[in-house]
Amino acid sequence: MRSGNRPLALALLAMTLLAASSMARSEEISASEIRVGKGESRSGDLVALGRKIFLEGELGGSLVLVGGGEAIVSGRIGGSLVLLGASAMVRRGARIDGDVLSVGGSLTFEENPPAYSSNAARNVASAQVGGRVRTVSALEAAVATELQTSPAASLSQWPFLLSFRLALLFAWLVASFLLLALAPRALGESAAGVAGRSAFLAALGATAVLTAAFAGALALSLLPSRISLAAGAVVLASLVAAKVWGLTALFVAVGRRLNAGAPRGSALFGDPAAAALGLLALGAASLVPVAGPLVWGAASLVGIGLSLASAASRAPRVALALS
Amino acid sequence: MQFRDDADELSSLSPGERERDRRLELLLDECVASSPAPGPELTAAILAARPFAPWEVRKARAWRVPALAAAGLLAASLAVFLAPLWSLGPVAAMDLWVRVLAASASGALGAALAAAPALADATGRALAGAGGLRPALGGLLLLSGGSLALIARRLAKRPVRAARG
Repeated sequence: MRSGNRPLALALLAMTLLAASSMARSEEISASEIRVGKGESRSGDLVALGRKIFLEGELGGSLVLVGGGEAIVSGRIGGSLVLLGASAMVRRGARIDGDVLSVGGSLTFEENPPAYSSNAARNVASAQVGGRVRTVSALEAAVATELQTSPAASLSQWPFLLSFRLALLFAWLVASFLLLALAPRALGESAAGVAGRSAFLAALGATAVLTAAFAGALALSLLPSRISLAAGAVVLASLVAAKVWGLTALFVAVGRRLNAGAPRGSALFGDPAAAALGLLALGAASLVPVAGPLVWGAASLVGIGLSLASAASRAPRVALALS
Repeated sequence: MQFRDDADELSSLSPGERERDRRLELLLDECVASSPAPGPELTAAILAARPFAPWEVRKARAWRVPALAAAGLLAASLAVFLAPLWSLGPVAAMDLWVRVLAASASGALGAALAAAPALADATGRALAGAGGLRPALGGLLLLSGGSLALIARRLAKRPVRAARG
């Protein structure tokens, strides 16, 4: 590692350690199975990562389950039930005073035996849920977040997921072509900035995403949720814009490597063909089980980092040399 | 920049230097006369070696492969979706593909928009409930934001690239 990058590497390492230590509280909660027995009462919110929760008694606040956790609710939740990539079974007689929100997980009401869908079960759930029921299904989440890039991950839905993924790649291609047609010079310069710097750009992108996440979390804990939401929407829109620009530049950079031997006049020559080749290569890699989401995620971070690097170095870089 | 007059230049030379200059001129004339003019192959080779120029995106020829790739992706998406539903008939299956795709995209956006307030509220409450989390978040934000600012400053200070003139 060059000595110039050492402070940055140390800062990133310290940040990771701090993040790990701040997560320790949550890890303590998730270290074992949690049970609130019948007749028991627990005040405040309950947040758990990837663990099983049996709620037979009463919870005063909200129940938030993240990342593969599972909740069996037969008691009462005073606040909301929030599932982020987690599942929950709401048994007959259970009561949730607030809202129910499920993103990318599964939510089942015992009184509604078939697989749950947001529209079908809304009426049935209304007796048990005081607020609103909102679900973002796995398919919708895959389309919205691009996290589920590999259709093989869900065998029962794989034709649909593969079809959606291919349609999304088509949308990416169209967006790339639009950017390339509108700003070919700037995009070409951004693409030239990838060579030999992909690890640095990925670290830069990850730092930007982390900063946005920390800022969002801090804002949520300090400010009213409406103000936090508005600020979060602006930051999210900026990150999305950075990802779109940066990924397009990355497609061109990858494609330039692939079509480097194409002679002028051949169909594969030029940046539009490079963008298509790069997208097809990265898109194909994103379909591979397990590795696919990692590849696409890393490419997204490189893209965000590339956009930031291009924007930061946009100061006048060309000077006329007097002879 | 200084320009010197040829007459002044010549008058300042010694006879030996003038003779050397004359011979050099003759030699250069001979070289030019004996060298073959660059042929069309050289011109073609130079033209063929030019890199892709940004303005060339306006040429339709540059978009043949990209258009093929886009059509291929769309066709593959359709084929994968329609294969198990082909028994419904091509029109009905296509209609279903468009509807499901549109519903998934708009549904995801709609659900995300509808869920955002509840999610923000729940997350805010959960974060506010954790005692030492705010200072930790503040520290992490300072650290990551500082790193970003440091990198941005370094990138902005990159040495300027001189244009050839």
